[in-house]
Amino acid sequence: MDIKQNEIERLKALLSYNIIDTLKEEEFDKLAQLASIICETPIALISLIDDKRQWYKAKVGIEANEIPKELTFCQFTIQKDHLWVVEDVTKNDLLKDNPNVTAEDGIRFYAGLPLQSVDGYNIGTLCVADIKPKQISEKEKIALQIITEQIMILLEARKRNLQLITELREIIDHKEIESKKIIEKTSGEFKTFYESISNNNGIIEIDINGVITSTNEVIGRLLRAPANKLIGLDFYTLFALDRSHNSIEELIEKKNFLLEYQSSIAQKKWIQANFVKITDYNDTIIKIILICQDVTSRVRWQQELEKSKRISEFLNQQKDRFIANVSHEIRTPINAILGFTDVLFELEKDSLKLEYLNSIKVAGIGLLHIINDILDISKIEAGMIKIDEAPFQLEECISNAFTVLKLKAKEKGIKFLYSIDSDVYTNLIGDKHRLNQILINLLGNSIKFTANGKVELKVSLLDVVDQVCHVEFRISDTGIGISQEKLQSMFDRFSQAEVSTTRKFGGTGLGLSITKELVEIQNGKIRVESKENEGTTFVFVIPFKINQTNEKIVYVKGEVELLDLSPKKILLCEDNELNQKLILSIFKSTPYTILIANNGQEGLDLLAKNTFDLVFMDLQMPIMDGFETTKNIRENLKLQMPIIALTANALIYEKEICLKLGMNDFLTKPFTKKELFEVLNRTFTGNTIPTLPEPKEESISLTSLKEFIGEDKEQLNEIINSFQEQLEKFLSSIEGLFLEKKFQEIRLYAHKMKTSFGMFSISTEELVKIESTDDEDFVSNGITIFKPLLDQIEDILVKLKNVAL
Amino acid sequence: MKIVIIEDDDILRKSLVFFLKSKGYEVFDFDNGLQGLHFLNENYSDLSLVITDLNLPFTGGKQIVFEMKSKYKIPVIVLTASNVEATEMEILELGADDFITKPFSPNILQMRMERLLKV
Repeated sequence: MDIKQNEIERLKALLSYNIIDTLKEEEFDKLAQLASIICETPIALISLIDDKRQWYKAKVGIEANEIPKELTFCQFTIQKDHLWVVEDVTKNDLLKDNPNVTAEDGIRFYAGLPLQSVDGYNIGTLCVADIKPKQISEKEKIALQIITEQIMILLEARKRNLQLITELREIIDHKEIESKKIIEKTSGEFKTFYESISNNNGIIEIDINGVITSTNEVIGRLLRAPANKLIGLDFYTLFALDRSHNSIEELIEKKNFLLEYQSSIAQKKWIQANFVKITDYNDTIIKIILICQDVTSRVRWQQELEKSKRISEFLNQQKDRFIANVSHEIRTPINAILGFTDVLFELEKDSLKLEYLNSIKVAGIGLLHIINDILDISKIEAGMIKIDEAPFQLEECISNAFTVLKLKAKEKGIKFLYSIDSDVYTNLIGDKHRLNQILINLLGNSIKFTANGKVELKVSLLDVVDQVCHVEFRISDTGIGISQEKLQSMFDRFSQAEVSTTRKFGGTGLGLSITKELVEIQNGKIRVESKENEGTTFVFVIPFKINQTNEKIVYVKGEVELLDLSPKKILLCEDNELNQKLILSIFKSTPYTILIANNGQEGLDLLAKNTFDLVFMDLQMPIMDGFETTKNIRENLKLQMPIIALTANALIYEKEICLKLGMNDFLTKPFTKKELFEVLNRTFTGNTIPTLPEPKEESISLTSLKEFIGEDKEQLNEIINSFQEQLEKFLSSIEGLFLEKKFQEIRLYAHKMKTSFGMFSISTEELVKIESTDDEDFVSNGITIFKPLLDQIEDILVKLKNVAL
Repeated sequence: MKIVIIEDDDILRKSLVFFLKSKGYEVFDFDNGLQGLHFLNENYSDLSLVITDLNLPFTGGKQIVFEMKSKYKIPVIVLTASNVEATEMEILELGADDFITKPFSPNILQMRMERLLKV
């Protein structure tokens, strides 16, 4: 029992080394060899013995790998705990009948040592054997002992290694299981995710070259193609996409991209694709997944929307243009109606008829206001109103508005007054016309809705920042007032406090809307406060630049004074009588004396008898022209006084000839008084005082026209009328041409107008500006680019009325 | 003497007509090149001088100069709005006998006309 139990424990110990049936190992082989050499025996074995057999881990001199346990010598060795030497086995009772002994050339000598495990079990043996009887020396015994120990060290080391490997494997196995779980979970999630996307979205997978590698059913349905047929196709070809403009990398970068798909049979499809890149651990792209959605209806809808937006914008423009044109057209006949009504007023004595006439006049004025309002609003809408930046005087502008409305207020018996705080700057820079319009609108409105009491304007300064002052205008009345809920929509178009108001007070309901727009385009703000039956207060604030110069604004039409006022004698060689008169009249109020020669010869005659300080020389004269005369003066008479050429042409070569012949300066006809004085100042004093910048006041001269027509009044009037017509035609057609973008026509038109302007000696500067504006500038500047020219023309029209004879 | 004026600016044309009539010329005026050229082709044998603008509706002044000089040798004075040298040279190269830059004095024009008519 004890022995059996001991054997079980021994077998367990043996198994723990896990050595039986392993491959040959060099370390063990060498130890066996060593034993054989030391003991000089042909046979040496390192064996392990289990319950059934002796297995050789290393062997010298034996063919077999193992033998049954009962046939072994070593079965006895393992029962000992020391070296067992049998010098002649034939004399040993335990071994003498063993088949290995009895066989031919059987074993005669045996020496074995048990291999003892750390815990004391003999798991195998080291043994040497010979076929001759033999003795073993003490040295050999010690050597065998050492080798045995060495074998056990090897076995122990091997066992520990195995244990470590096992442990390691266990750890690895554990990790592997855990990782697998995680991967399964993640991939499960991904799969669910992918499937749910795939259920509702088209999926196309492409490789880095754009070749389609996978698709789903949804995209197949979407593209009206069997999904699997798409595989292998080029993504770029399928969606007619330009590879050079949309590389895979760019598409991934963009993430979202609108693809267009034109199948051979179905209608065009728009597909919104999300590009998702799938990369490996190196961040190398393995594939790109396109998550696709059919957005065809959305795109179509958007296109429709844009189209209708364009159409409505176009129609709106048409409307504005129509309104602008029609308003203009309506104004003209209304003016006629009002004008003739006034004429009839003068003639009519019958009181009933006078009353009727008054009704016509009131209705006409009302109509005119409405048209003006509509015209204003359409101009604002078309962005045609530009704010002027010119110096003006605040009080002048305010008193102007009061002058206009004073009578109306007086008629109703309302007090009408204004006050300006003393700290408000008087000299400002801004648009006085627009300010005037705002004031008239608001004050007029207040007067209209006030039956008794007063309408008052208070002007105060809010603040000054960077030379810009915010001026507050407060217009309060004691009128009918406006209810709180109506206050909100006060500035809306076509809104009046009550429908009944329209009946009682009239108006378009545009006035306040226009006022608000006018305030806002000047970067201002407007608000209204009101209590029903107590009155209304409109408050608006407009920022104005402070006029730094602080000078009183005086309108100087570019006046130039003569610098040298000592008496001078001047010869004028000029055949044209009108020019003679013109120059004489200019010099009338100066200390200069003018003598006239009708041609060059007359001039030479006068020069021979008199001394002159200066000669004005017309170039084209009968008998002797200016060139010839000048040559004579310089070469024959040897006179050195300044000669100033009067030339009708601004030709460069003519000027050069003038200078070459010894003339000092020249004036191009028609010239102004200013130009004439400037030449004289240049000549006599060698300098000119800087003239004030010429204000945009238009000067019109009939001088050149009269050169053609003479003094024929009827003819002059006819020409002036044609010019008026021409200007009015230009005014009424320029907007249409601009809106139709006929820029070339506009340039030609401006070019053409230069001729007529020249006939009236009007500056063609603005026309030249328009003539030299390119398409781009027309577009970027908008219609406001015409403002200076249109202003000039309006100005000319006013002036023409005055010059009409 | 019969003079033809082709100029589309009403003011200048009317003024010129008045001026030249007052100087005793018989004047035919047109505000576009097409009508002007048609008239010239029909009546060239009676005409003494043509004054034409350069930029004209329908048929331009250059074509008028070219046709007048190549077919009938009638003197032509061109009215030009620009004093660009290139334009002036081009006018003379076309065969125009003279040109005058707007704005101009009618007296200068008359002088230039007379010089051409004497030859």
